Amino acid sequence: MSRPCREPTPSPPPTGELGDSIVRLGEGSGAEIVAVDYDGRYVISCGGFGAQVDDVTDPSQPVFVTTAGKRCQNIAFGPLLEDGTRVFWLTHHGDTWVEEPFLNTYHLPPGDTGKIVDVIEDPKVLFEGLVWHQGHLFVTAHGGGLRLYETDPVGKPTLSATLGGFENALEIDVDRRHAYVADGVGGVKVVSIEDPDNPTHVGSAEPGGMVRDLDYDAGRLYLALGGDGVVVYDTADPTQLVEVGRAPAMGSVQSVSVDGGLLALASWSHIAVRDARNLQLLGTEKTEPLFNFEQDLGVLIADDLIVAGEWEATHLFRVVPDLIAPDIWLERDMIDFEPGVPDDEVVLVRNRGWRDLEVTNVWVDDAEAFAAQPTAFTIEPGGVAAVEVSFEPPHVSPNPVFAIESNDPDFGQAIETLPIFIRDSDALDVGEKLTEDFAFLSPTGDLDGLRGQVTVLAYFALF
Amino acid sequence: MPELEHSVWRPHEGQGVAVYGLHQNEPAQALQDFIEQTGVTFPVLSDQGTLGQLSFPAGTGYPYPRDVIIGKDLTIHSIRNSFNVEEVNALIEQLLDE
Repeated sequence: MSRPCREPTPSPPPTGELGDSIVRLGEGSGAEIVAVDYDGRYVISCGGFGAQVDDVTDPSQPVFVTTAGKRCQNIAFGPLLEDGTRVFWLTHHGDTWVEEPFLNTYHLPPGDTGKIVDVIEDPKVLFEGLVWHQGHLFVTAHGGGLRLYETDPVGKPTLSATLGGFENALEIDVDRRHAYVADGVGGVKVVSIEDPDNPTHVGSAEPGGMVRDLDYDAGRLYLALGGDGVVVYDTADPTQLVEVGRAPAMGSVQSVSVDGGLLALASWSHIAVRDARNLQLLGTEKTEPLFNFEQDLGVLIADDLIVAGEWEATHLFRVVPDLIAPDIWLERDMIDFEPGVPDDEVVLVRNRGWRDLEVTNVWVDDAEAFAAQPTAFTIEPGGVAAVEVSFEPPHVSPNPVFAIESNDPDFGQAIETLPIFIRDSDALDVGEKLTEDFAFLSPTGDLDGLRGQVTVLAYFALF
Repeated sequence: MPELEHSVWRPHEGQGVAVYGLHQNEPAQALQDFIEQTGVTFPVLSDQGTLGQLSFPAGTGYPYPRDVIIGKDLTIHSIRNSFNVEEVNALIEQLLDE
């Protein structure tokens, strides 16, 4: 699968000392993380094993506090009570392990492990995204739209209004008068919340692709579009959103967060930081070490602190915007060959950073069957170079790996790798025909029942 | 799956396109709840072991969901690990015209 990278035109390029602009601080708790939040003291990572709470007063040494619930999809912090208790809410839309979709309220007193104080369960409501604002909790519910809850002084919610007219309401953010909803393939919806008891649709935009997350900051709305990257709208007139910027994904942008002129992205295979005004790429960082599977799904930036939710842990970073560096990007995510067939494949190597990228070594760990050329070269900022990988069967290693070493300061990218895949000659592939094993799909019980139509198979799992 | 329902299945319903959701041994009640909650109207079936027969690129992230698009003559035209509505619909339109 190719991963082209076409950056916005630099305007002008950033300047600074040579160095890694994203500095690793510490690693916190988490498992199967899909969302994160931070209130200035606590980081909560939400996922398959509940909400893991860490005290990050010292972000270089996160301290585990407690686990809330068994599984959660999303989390929002609420008020800080007079006794220092932090209120927060968790949602889940229900799955194999969660019997009923829920919106639950928790109290976390200082020095305590916290407790659940209110439970809202409803099998007909797919609770998903949420944000707390001025005494109201705004919750998205997929096709069920938007639900507004009035919260009492200790955070317990009471339903006060609902609003339909959404395709697939996923995530939400608010300013003083409007709620902005990431509505999946329905784009983004703008809702007036000046009267929270009577929310009304006032605007929308369809940037293309699927809007899966968003963040509002300083008059601009930033949308995460997965493989379609990031798009930015000006919200001066909420009834007429104006697109003011767009940047490529390089991965798949799952989550966005903006603060202090910096835009942080969780892009599945890495995190990235961009200038929030002109979308220039300032730096990237892999959260997992070499050869480890990585899945960055949640991110939050507050001042210069980044909280990244990777599948297996929470990672904390400090952004140092005055440092610039080379940044390696390989414009494909794997190399595949036919078994037993000598062939060559090209790997395009791009420098998406702002200093020269010095490649010092390129190799494949199965040197008997594979060769890569050239092995040393320099790429200017924004430039691209081609490396040819040759295959002379038979191969020895069952899982050969292509590797390229450079002066990219990110510890996870100093040696960048690609898996080499020798296709299973027995597996069904593009260009081949369905076998009799698929006849169960046909109303006639044989493959002839599938002829003459276009068939789409969607393999899925419930979790 | 809801995106598949709204953006692929419903726009093409009755136009010579069939969509199937295929699972691997999920509990019946969980499946029923999932169908009710997501509102999908295309058939959801056990995959009968066919997932393991398909070639797919290694090292490209999480294996779910995985979409396969097959033409009128039963030729496989696409096996993907990521769902892009525009690309899927463009391929379906191309195959319908063949």
